[in-house]
Amino acid sequence: MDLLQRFARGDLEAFEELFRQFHRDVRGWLARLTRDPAAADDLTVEVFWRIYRAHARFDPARSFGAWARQIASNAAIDHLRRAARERAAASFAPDPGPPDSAARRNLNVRIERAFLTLPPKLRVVADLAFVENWPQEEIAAALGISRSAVKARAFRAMNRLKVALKREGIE
Amino acid sequence: MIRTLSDEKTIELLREAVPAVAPGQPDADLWPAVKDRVIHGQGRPVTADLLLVVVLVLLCLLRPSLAAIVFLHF
Repeated sequence: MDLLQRFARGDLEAFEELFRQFHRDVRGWLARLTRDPAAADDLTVEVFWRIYRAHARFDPARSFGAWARQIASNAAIDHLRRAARERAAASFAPDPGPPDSAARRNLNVRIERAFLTLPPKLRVVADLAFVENWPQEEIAAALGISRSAVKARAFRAMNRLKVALKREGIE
Repeated sequence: MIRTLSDEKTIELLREAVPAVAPGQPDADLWPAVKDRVIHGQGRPVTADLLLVVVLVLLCLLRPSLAAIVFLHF
C-alpha cells in the first residue's frame, strides 16, 4: 500500500513521513500568509493536527501538498482573525521597523495600519496578489477557491485598501 | 476634485510598507509536538461539537424526561 493510502487509513508512521516531507513548505506558507514567522511553529503543529484529524476525508489520488496548503490557508485566516481581535482589544500600533527617514517610516506605519484593516480573507489575497505578485491561478489553487473568487477578492481588497489609505490621509 | 490613488500606486506603496516576509526555519523539530497532539487529541473543540452540546443541554433543561435518553448514550 502506498504512503498516501496508508495515511488515509490513519497510519501514524505514514503521517510522520508526510510531515517530514511537507512541514517546511506548510510552515513557510503559514509564515507568509500570517506575516508572523514567530507564530508559524505553533500554527504548523495546529495544521498537521487538523490534517491528521481529517485523514479519512483525504483522497489518495489528490496531491497531499495542495491539500495541506488549503488546510494551512484556513488556519492562517483563523489566526489573522484572532490577531485582529487582539489588536482591536489592545489598540495596537504596527512596529515602525528599522530606522529610515522619519517621514517614510510614518507613511509606512499608516499604510500597514490601512492594510491591517482588511478582513483576513481579503488581506491574504491582497498579500499574494499585490505584494508577492502571484498569478491568480496559483492563488486560487493555494487557497482552494475559484479564479473568479480570487479576482473578486482582489478587487474588493483594492477598493477597501484605497478607502483605508484615504482615511489615513494617503490619496 | 476627489483624488484617488491608482491601483499601481497603491501596490507600489504597499510593497514598500509591507514587504514579503522571509519564512525562516522552525526553532526545533516540530514532530514531537504534532505526535503528542495526535495521540492526546488536544485539538480545539469543533464549533459543531460545541453547538451539539449546547442543543443537548437546552433539550435536557426544557424536557427533563429526555435527559435519561441522552445520558444513556454516554
